Amino acid sequence: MEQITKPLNRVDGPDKVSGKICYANDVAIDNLAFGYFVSATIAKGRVKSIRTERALSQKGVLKIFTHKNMPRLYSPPTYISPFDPSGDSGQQKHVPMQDDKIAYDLQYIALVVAESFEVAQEAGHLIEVVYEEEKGTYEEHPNPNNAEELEFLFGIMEGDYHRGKPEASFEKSEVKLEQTYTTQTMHHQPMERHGTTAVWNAGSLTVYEPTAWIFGHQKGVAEMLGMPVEDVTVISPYVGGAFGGKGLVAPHTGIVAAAAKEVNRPLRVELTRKQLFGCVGLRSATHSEVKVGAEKDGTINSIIIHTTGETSEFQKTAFESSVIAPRMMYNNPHMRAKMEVAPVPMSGPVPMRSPGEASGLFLLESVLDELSYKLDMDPIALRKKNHADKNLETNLPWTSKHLNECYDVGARKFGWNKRNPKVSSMTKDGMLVGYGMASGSYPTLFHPASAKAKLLNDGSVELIVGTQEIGTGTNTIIRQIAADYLGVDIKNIKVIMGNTSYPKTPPTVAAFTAASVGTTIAKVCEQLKTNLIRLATSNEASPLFGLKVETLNISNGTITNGTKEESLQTTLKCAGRPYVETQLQTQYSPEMFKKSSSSFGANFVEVEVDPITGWASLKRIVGVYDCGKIINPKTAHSQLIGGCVFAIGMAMQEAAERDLSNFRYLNSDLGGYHMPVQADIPDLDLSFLDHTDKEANILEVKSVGELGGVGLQAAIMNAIYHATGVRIRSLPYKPEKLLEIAE
Amino acid sequence: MNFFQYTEAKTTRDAIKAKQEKEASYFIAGGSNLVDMMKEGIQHPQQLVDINTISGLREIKNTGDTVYLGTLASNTVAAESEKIINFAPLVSQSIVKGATQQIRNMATIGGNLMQESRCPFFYDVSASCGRRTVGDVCPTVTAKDGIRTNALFGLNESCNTPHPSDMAVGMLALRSKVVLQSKNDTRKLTLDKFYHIPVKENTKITHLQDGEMIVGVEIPLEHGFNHSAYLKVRDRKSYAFALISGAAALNIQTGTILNAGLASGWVGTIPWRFEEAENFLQGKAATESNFRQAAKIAVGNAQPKKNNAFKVKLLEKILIRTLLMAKETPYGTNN
Amino acid sequence: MKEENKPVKKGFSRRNFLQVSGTGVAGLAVAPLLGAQAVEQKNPERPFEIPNAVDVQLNINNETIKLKIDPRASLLDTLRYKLNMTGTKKGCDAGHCGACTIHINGERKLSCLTLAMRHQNDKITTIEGLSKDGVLHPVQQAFVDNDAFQCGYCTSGQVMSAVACIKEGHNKSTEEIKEYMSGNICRCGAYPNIIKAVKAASK
Repeated sequence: MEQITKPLNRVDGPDKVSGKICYANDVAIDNLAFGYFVSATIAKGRVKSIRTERALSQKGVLKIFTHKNMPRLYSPPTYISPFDPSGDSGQQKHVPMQDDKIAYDLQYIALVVAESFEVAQEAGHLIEVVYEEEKGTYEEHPNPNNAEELEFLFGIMEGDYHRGKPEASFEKSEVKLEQTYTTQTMHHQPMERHGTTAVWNAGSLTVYEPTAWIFGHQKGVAEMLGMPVEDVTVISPYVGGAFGGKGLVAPHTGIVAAAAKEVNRPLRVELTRKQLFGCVGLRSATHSEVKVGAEKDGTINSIIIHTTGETSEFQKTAFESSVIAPRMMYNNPHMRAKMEVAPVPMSGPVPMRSPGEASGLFLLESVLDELSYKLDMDPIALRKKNHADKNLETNLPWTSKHLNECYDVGARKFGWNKRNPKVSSMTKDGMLVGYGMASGSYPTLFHPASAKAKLLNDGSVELIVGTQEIGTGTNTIIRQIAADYLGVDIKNIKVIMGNTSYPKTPPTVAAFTAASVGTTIAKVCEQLKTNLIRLATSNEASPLFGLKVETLNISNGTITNGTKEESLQTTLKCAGRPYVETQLQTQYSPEMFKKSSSSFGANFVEVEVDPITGWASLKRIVGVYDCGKIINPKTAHSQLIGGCVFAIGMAMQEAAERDLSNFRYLNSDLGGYHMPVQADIPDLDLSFLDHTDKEANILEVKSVGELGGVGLQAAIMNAIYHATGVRIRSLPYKPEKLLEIAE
Repeated sequence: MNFFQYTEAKTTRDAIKAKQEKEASYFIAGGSNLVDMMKEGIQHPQQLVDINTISGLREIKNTGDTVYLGTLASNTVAAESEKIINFAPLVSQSIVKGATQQIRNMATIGGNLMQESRCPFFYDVSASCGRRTVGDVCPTVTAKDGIRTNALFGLNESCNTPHPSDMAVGMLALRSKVVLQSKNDTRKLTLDKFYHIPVKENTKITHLQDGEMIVGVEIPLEHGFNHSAYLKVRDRKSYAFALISGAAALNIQTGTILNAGLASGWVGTIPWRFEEAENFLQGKAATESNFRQAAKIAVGNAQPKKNNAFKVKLLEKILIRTLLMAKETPYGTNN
Repeated sequence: MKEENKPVKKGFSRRNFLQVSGTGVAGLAVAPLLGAQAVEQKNPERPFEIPNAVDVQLNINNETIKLKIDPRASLLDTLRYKLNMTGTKKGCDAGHCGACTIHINGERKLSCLTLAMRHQNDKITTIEGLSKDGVLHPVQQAFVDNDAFQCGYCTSGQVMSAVACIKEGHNKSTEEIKEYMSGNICRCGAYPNIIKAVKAASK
């Protein structure tokens, strides 16, 4: 293996830094019309009247769609399961503009189609709408008193899980803790806005859309329009950020496709940044009541979590599944983890980076920290004492687990031994200093994928696979894997992706691309290698004729056994073949269900708090991660950084603010919704342990993309507690939450 | 955005004349605020009078008594000007805490002073807003709990959003004057007289008259300030409007405060000066104890609502910290 | 199955198809983006006459371009929609994200917050104009070497800001670079690597 584990620069790097990459809605299309959605200014109710005369009078307006004239669209099926990525892919059961109802703030109520963006935008402003608002009473966080049963939780997980006798065990415990934790509504806000370019040709539709799941979009759009899936092509070679939000098919894609058909012009509609706050899903806020029963020596007997997540009124789903990750983190024999939902006027929730782990490990790692102070026990020692040697939820052994080493290495790098356990005892230059830590974990999943490998007679190799590049570096690691498993120079390898005409793969979500698409690439290359060798050994004119296939290998583009050899180009030339290609589809195997595979990590944080103003700043973060073999340390490290930045946003500054009198957003723009900027990020020292995982898969990799940052929110709040004695149980931090220390 | 007439002005007179000749005419300089509002459909200029083309409005000079900033100087040029950094550093300290380098490169001094509300109700054409529509009542008046970003001072029926400028607060603490030019006349107003609390009768918050144009800002040097600091506490560490900011300028001689300038951003419906606290500090020792007392005086007239009540204490603490920072930051410190 | 060299379909022409399917071919020259060479108005077949159109002349990447535009068009939209120069990105269209950062007379500014027609006397530089004769600008190379991007959408703005940040002299310390690069949001979180790239390019 030469290329795997090399920290190669991204193959698309030179193009990305030169502005040469074409994202879906950059593509130049002839005769393009531009569309502009108009959004509702109430969160619930109906459109009483809508007048478009002034808008239509603008020169260049082609057509205006409202619920009165919008073509019929079907509701896409939404029974999402991570274990069946070929299945449902709809994001929202509710399709806007099919009737006069408003189900959430910013819902589309009209679509202007015009010759230019300026005309469409101005016409949109001229549409006159009268609403009939339906009032309600609303709160900042989901109220457990309004909780209802979940429709489903990721299609297969139990919303109500227990093992042992959690309540009885809690009652009998020597030390009991009961706390409530809340997390906030959050928005993905990728830098590239969602949007659709729809082009019809007779009955066939081509959709350019930034999506993390081209096949899901193909199916979902076809279902919305009521047309055969085969007549829809989705193209998405590069995506400007997804974070879980561009996987499922949002309603705008079907609406734009239908509108394009009506006006008989290729149509491009990019959502406004504001619309990304209302119309494409979000991370649900959660409210969790947590109980922990333990012994004085730190043994945790029972953990009980009851979470209420906010959900829409038209589909009672939850993706911010706080109750899943805590089930397998520790050794507690007794556990209850129940999730319910409280409906409010919002669009259907959507997974957002580390969905469930983000809030679930926030509450778990916070309550463990509270327990450690109550027991006067070091937080790391408490976790080690309750180390789960196997996954207690599934009762399966781990493929590998080096969490204890993550703690040890992280503690050493961080200088954890300098910690004075007494709260508010550490200071620096007049500022209070706090240290905090937390565990992290993320599962390593696998889903079947297919790929094609093709050797051309000029010596170049193509890997053709219908996956999408969302910024994780998929097209780079595919080249590395192919180079090693096929034995050709990486410079000759080209990756062709992002089109539903190519072999089918699962979505780029849940950090399983390396384990799924990556292993498929390895296997299809092995298959191609075998076929090429056989091509040589069956050719009488070849020096390798008659040799056993197993005795030969390909190295540097040459078939060889150490003594005899033939270049691949020669093999093809002699066989009179312009190219040789092969396709392979991977499958689930029973072996995969015999063990549990997860990545693990330990987070350490130092904060400083101004004792006069109570304003907190992050000073440094150390993270150590157990992710198996790392195919490309450069891109994998970037994933860790990205995850940490996301977690910093969730811990310190991001929150959707709503006007509780009408449930409308108060900060639906990037000026008010505070995603992290450069100045928010402290020194990040993030590293991988050097262990491969031979049990996990043939590449020996575990998940990377969503592990970074998991648990970090708790580590930050634990550090703030250590500095100030104030326990923040409701994210995010806000300066007023520490005002009580300001004297 | 609606269609508009576009006029380039060569002189200040031309600019004023062109603006008066057509209703709903706006000056445009940097345009970073106005173009945004036009795109959002919340301002509908019928004419844009481009003043960027007027020469002589960019100069920065030290007259001995004052530092003068021409209105068309970009925020960046002003912040990085040697004259400002050496003689009125609080202007630089406050400017660089606002926006980003890209926006500061575009925005002018006059534009910064005249920037409009950043309130979500102002930006929402479906909401009631006395700064967009004369006579509208501010939603935070009807919803008595207010919102987190509500102002604490200068509350009224029309508009209760805090003024968003950092630069104006720094200039206010230095007792700067805005220089206004009309066809035949020039007049100067200190910033606390230039701004006024929003009123029901119109959507303005300044005393800029019809037929007048800002041509510059004069920062007086007579108060002898020799220490200053600007502290901006916000929901992230950069590129965000303040939750609360503090601006302090002190004339300290041998440990005694001869003169103090104290102001805050994002607490008043206009940039807010704490004159009573300034008077208290005059003649007092520059100690933390006196700073604490001054801060307490400063927040005395605050008008908190339920959802922003925490701001009273936060403001008090920020003012203390700002004064302490100012004490540690004499003029000439590289910050 | 569609292949790259099949005949064009109505609705998009061959040049567009090339732009779509090229995925950064290793070692092979990428088809030059047509927008970078544009010197005349695109989409001549479109019959729509822009209402109240103005004739403007813009100097972009050292080329003078004459075109007829809507007076309301932002500089950003003019680059992207009229000239097909899609290297500059629209992140928010409201001055809140920095993705649209370009240089006007060597200073970094936001192209979404300014009207194109006001810049006829200015020298405009976009990301497409940064590399010379196919050789990456040192800042661009530093970004590649330090993995200072992931999805790439904010990258044009980051690079334009970084070039300016160094030229302004705001690269004297990590803290200063952080503050002066805070006007470009990166949701993928490549921030620490962007700092590394700016430092590397500052040498």
